[in-house]
Amino acid sequence: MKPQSTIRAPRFAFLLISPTWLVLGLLFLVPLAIMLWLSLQRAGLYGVIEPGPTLANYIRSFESGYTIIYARSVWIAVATTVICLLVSYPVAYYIALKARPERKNVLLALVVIPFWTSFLVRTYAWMFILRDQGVINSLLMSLGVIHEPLPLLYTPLAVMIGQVYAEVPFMVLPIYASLEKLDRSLLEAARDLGASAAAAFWRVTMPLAMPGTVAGIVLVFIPSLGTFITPDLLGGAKGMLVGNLIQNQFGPALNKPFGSAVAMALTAFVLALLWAYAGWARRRGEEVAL
Amino acid sequence: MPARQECLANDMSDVILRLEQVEKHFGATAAVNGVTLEIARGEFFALLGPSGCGKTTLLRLVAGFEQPDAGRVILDGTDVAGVPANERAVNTVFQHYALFPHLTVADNVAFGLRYQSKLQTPKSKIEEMLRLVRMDGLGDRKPDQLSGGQKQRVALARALTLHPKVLLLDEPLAALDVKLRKEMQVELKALQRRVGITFIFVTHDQEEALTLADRVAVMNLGKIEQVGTTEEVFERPRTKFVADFMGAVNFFDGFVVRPEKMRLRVTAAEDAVVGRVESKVYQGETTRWLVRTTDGKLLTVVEQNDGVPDAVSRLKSGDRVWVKWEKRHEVPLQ
Repeated sequence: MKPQSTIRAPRFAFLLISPTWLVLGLLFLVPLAIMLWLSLQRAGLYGVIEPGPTLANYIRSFESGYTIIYARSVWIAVATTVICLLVSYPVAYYIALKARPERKNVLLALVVIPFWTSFLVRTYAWMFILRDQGVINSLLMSLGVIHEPLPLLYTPLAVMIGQVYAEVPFMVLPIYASLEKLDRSLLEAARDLGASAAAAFWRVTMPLAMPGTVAGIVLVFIPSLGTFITPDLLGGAKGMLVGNLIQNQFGPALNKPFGSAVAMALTAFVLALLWAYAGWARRRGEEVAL
Repeated sequence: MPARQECLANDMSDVILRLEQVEKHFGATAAVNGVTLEIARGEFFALLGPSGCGKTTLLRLVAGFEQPDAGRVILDGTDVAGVPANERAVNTVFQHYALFPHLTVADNVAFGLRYQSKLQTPKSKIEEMLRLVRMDGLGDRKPDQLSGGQKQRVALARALTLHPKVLLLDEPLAALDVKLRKEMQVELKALQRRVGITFIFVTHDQEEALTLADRVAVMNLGKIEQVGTTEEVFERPRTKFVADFMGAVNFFDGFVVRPEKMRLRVTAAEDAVVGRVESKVYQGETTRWLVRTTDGKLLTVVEQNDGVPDAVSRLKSGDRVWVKWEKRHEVPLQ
């Protein structure tokens, strides 16, 4: 074969990623551009869109009634992420480093199996567990522990439970992946140099699993920030989050320009967080795993 | 199996490490099967054997990564069997160095200093260690910016920083290319003399063991076949296994003769064995001949090449040849 054939290959290699570009362009960039345009228009009666451009939607989105919703959303997302992290790390650690090799695949399958059922169905299942006549309340009442049903459903706690339940696999899997490829001889080296098991974890395991941990945090935090099904079904009317706000504007409220402005603001907020993290990681000389 | 006494060195007034009937099983397999061994302070000691012979397990038992099922591991007078690795005054240079990829060279070297109770001046200590392995000025590098030889040096510096009573090296040079390996052999030997610490290293390479070690233990199937100075083990192997492993492959009834101790003759000679040339392999400094004797035995003869063709070097496959050796080169086997 002539050497030029090896030179020619890279010139057309970009074709390999063109399907991705096509999908991203049609289903992500175009809708994003439409949303940006919509957010700068005025809303008329009955969902009519009147020409702008105007920043009124953005200005309105910072009114105090809405900022409470944003604060609540951030709080739920942060709490979900922290709880997921605390729940998932030991699980990922056990599967990656402690479980017998032949059991690993079974344990990983158990983490993934919930995805076989629709997210909506699983969230409805939580309603049956948490409601007044649900599994938990009936059990506790039949045992005589309580006489009145505990208010579980339609509370922030219910939203948190539903969110954590839904997001845990997205935290377990990336942490597992980075622990799994950890070179065990590094842990032995740490012990050899005098570190206790806890110190070896703190100084070697945790820093080296950081890319997976950060990936898990990002994968859980961002969807949690925009979630709307869980608060809709488990949170009740008082638990509105930013996801529900946006959904409402596109639906019952018939105000697509305002909904678009809130969505754009949310997107900008997430991008700003990621950008800040990337800058921080780069200053520390770490790989940026985004 | 040699008697217990033979596993002990001649002058063992100052024993730094003593293994007594150490056993380690993995499932039904005995990785280490009753090993008794003494190593003197300041010795450069090699554990030599084929893969699976138990040499690495033995090293891990001394390091504390494994605990023995039976027997005692006495380090400087104290039985450390059951003591975890982080509480043993022993450090390890790992086969693939196991440098912490997220830390700089200096932080790797300094890793263990905080666990030492005595007061340190870490910064100057780190510089001293880096100078010792000729890595001064490279403390800010990350391990992935280093060559194989440099990683090896950092691994050595890191393990020596804590002044272990014994330094363990697991196939320390196996990951390096041939030229670098030769250089590092010389350097490692010099380093050991300078620091005066007992070095125990594991290798499957008999030449490396002979080059580096003062004494060597040859292991097979979890047991020590023979312990002695490198010269003893090379020149006077006691068992067929040791002889074979050290490259003495011409076995006779009760004795063995090394290939380089045999000579080829193109004419009949007294006490010579007659045969035909089966093959010859030119190896640069030497030529390795395979000769099939008339009674069917295959002998290996290694002749020095002096660059001047003679009757022997002109021999071809199928030619008649006489193999001769001296009685004093016959090494009796058990």
